[in-house]
Amino acid sequence: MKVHIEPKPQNMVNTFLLIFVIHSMQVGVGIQGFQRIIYLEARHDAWISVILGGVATAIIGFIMVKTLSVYENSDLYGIQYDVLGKWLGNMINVLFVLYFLGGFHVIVRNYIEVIQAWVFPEVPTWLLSLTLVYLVYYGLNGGLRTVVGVSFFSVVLSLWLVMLLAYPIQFANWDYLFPIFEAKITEILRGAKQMTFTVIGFEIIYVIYPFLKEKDRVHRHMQYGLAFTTILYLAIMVVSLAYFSGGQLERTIWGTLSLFKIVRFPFIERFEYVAITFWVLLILPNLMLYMWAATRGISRIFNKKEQKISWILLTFIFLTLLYPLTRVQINMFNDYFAKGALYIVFVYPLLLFGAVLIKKKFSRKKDEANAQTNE
Amino acid sequence: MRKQMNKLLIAMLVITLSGCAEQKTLEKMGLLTTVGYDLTDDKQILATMVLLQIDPEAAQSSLILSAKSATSKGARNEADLKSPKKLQSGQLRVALFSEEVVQAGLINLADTLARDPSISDLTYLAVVEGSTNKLLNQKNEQFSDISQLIYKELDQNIKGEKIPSSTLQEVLHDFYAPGIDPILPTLKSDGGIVKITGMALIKKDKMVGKINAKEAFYLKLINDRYQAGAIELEIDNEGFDLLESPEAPVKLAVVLDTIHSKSDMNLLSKENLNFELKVKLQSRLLEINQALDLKNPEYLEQLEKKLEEKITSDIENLIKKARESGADPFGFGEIYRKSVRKANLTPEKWHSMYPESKVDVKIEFEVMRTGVVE
Repeated sequence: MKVHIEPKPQNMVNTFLLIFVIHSMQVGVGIQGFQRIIYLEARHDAWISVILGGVATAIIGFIMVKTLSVYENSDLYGIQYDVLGKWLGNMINVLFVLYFLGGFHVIVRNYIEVIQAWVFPEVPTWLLSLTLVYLVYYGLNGGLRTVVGVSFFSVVLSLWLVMLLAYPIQFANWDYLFPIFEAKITEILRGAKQMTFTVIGFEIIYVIYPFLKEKDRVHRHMQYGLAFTTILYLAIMVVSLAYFSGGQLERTIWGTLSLFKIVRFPFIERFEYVAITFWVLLILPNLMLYMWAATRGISRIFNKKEQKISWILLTFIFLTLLYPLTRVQINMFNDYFAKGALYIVFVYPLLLFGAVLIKKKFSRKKDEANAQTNE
Repeated sequence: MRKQMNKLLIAMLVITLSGCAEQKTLEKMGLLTTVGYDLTDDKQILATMVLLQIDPEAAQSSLILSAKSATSKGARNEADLKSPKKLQSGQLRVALFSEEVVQAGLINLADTLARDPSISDLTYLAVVEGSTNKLLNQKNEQFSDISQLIYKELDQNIKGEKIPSSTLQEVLHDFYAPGIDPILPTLKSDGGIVKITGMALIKKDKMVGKINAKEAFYLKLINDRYQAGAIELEIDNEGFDLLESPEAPVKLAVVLDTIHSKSDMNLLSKENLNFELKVKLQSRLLEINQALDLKNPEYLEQLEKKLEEKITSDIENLIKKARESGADPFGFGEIYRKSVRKANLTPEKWHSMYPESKVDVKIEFEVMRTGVVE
């Protein structure tokens, strides 16, 4: 495997668009119901956990970009191959591919669960997943630039949904946010840990980095995207805490969707139906980028053409989606995935960064030694 | 080649997928607009449903069905057997419960409404004095559709600030909050019309008492802000310099409207559970039933003071009445939870503390103007 990548100029992406890629990757199915799981840990101080979660993403985002910038133009797969060697490196590469596929699976599962619980209880799972898988295949055919375009439009076209928070605010009682800091520090931290499932997605930087045009601006735009997400989550959390009472929030599976339940227009009385169907637009960039990242991984490891691989992977994913799961099992699956993601996204980058630094130091010494012997 | 394949696939999907979801043709749907729950003698639920008729040739614009079952959704399935159209609850506007049902416990039925994603969170809930079945089945020549009558009556009075709001969201919110109890308006059938008689006091989810419409006004005064409410108050005419006339009524009655109010609750001492309730009221004096010289600022001030006293004692009485019944619709418990760190308040804990609480009521009342004449 070549460590360095030289993408064709027509495949490169403007660094500015990284804001949209990062934000659209983070916002997906997690946002639909993150209030409850965090509330269960940190009670009405849950919003502090959201801020802590946001800070953690900013730190890890910084580490990720630093790791990548050690190399001239490489991605996670190349770096791991370089640092950890052929066998161990490729093994972890495969692990990451499996993680990306797992993310894809979890998103489709949860979204279909929402569709079946709220809108169409009678539409079978295979049909909905086939539709989504086909849409993803269609987008991937256009290459990375199309996928990035999808995430740009996903963010821009769904921004107006935020304004609908004005409806629940009318019913809000801000007393529910007080007293501040009633939860113990450990409870707040545990709440922040529960944010994992909601904030992950920004690890896509590991794969997309070589395709970004201006490398010096990558970190700044990455942080913009992460901050944007944190502010959005914070706003939703604060409104939810003020709108629902504690016991109610504990029982509400999809808090954000329930917030939309009281939006009423003269021409659309039940707005949550629009919001839920509109959510396809929010999860599409997630699905496409996860699938793209997995495809890149396989094609880098085995040196094969991407197009054929995406076919195979999508068929494989579709077959796994056919296996029926109940709400309880989906919850369990989410928990396992979130636990794995905690290590893969929040712990492993630190180790990798350390390994890369050590490797760099050694190779420099070796270079210097070589230079000296040559003299 | 691939592009053409994609286009073909999309066309095929559009054709085949559209048949997959269950079709809901409006003409084949029976839209429930109001549902009422009664308890039968054998402890089952009798659900009465009002269906909207879309057929323009129908003699009546609504159809009433009732069915008996152990659960509310079971009753709906039961009613489907009697209905020419498939029953759908997406247009449900009002859910009525008989007093008996609420005395036994409301939450299971309210929770079912919330569990069904097709039911709006803005559905109004109300208690019916007597049987909901009879109320919904009564005939009225002026209104062809009883469900529209009830819905519009509740909507108008809640938006017109006569009574506190009681949507499904608000009732469940207060039920699941530790320090506040939900309230529901009470309705009564009164010779062909439906009258809002007041509010039901609820402890946890069981009805423990009733307050009348005037007390409901004070309740809203404590809980909410007023933008434009109205009320009639009676005070003693002692101490006023009135023109003596033998036919004048004994009491002095005034009507206030466009009431602006703001209330503020605080916990003064957490050991004694002493609360302070401050209400600021500003309003217009619309009518007065005796000749009082309002040009004189002294009289006006005297009147303001008298009204202040009257409102204070009324509010104190209301709080006393609610406290004796055990229900806390004012949310004093929430103030306690907010002010005391590590309170760990639960509904049970608050209900055991609540009877010991004391409230100091302070009212500031101001007449802004007296109409276009003095």
